[in-house]
Amino acid sequence: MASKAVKRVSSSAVDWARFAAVIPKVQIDTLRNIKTKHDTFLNKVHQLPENLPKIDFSGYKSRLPDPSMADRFQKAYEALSIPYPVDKDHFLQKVEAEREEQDKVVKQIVTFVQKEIDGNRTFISKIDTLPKYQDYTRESFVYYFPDTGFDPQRPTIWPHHEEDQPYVRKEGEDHH
Amino acid sequence: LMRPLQMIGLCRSGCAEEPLRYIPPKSFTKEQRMEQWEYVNSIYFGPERDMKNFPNPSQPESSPAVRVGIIPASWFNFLYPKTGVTGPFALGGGLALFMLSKEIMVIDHYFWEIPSFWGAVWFVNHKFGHQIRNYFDSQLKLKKEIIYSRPINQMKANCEEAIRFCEKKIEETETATHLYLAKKENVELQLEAAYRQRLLAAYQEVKKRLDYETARSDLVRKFEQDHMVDWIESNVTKSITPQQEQESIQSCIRALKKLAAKENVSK
Repeated sequence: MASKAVKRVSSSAVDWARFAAVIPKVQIDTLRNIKTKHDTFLNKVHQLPENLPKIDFSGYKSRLPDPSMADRFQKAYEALSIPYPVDKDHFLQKVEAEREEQDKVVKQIVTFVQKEIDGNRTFISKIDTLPKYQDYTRESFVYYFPDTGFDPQRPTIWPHHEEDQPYVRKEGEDHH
Repeated sequence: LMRPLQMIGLCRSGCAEEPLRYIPPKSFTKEQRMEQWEYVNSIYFGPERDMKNFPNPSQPESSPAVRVGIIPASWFNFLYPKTGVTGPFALGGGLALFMLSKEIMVIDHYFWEIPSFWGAVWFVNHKFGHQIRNYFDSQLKLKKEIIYSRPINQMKANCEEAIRFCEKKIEETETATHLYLAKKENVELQLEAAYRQRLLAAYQEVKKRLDYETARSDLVRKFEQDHMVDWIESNVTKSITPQQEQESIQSCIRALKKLAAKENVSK
């Protein structure tokens, strides 16, 4: 467990450059916060020793009043085994649970957006099936594009310019 | 300052009839448009359309070719197999001669209308022909653009922009993965930091105790040493009698004199 963690602190598992590239601009604060936290923890880890630091017992042996004390301490120190900390608040589990939730949301988004893309693509391909400009008649043009023709529900006055029609109201302009 | 048609609307709305209300123009969704195009295509170009007997009327790019300004080239081509290149001209000249000889075309004062008129036409074409042609061409081009090219291209551009936007959104969903990895790593780093903190604490505790013991024993020994040195020194100085002091001073002076004599000799 310890060696796995030690190996990882040399290079981060997170591609920060890619993360910064894909994150939407409105969430840049999230990235900043998590990056600063990551850097803080990384600095702390690098400052502290990787393994149990060595003590020079032979040097102490000559200076101690009680030489057997050095031997006792050495034996105890070598036999020391420090337990790896336990994740009391189950943060890792919480992270995994959040991951599952986000997966579902991401799937929904991707299917919806993909449908939009496909709809747009079919629309572009359908535009290419329209006849050429020379092949229209006045009648067929109006059949293809009904909003260009005469609409009995909305008669317009010659010269049929949209902005001159009495119907058109600009924002804020009062009718009376 | 209202446009004239708006004033008409205003006047009309002053009447006691039904007031002029705002009707928004028709707008269609993409699905509606596609449905409409499919349906119209199936009617105009579908299986029931008789393309052989009723071909689709297509607007040609320009009017058919003409020779000598006004005579269609197809008439010349029609006569070419039988009479060659000079045929139509010979026909025209011969026809004119025939009409003159038979007095169908009489050279009176009305005759000159024809050459005058066609000469003027030729002159106007010579001076302003290109201008007129270009003007009408540009007007047609503008009409095509406004009615057809611009809206169609706008629709396509909007679709392509929407596709780009959607693809960007799909790319942005990667953020979830990165966030998850970053959070996991943060938690694991914290655990690692706590572990290393424990190692450091153990080391420091052990070292503290060893250092204390060694420092303590060093201090005791040092104190003993200093005390012994002081005691010896004080006893020695006390034991020096005045007689001994005098003798040692005299011997020092003698030694110094000897050294001075040696110095003079060596110099």
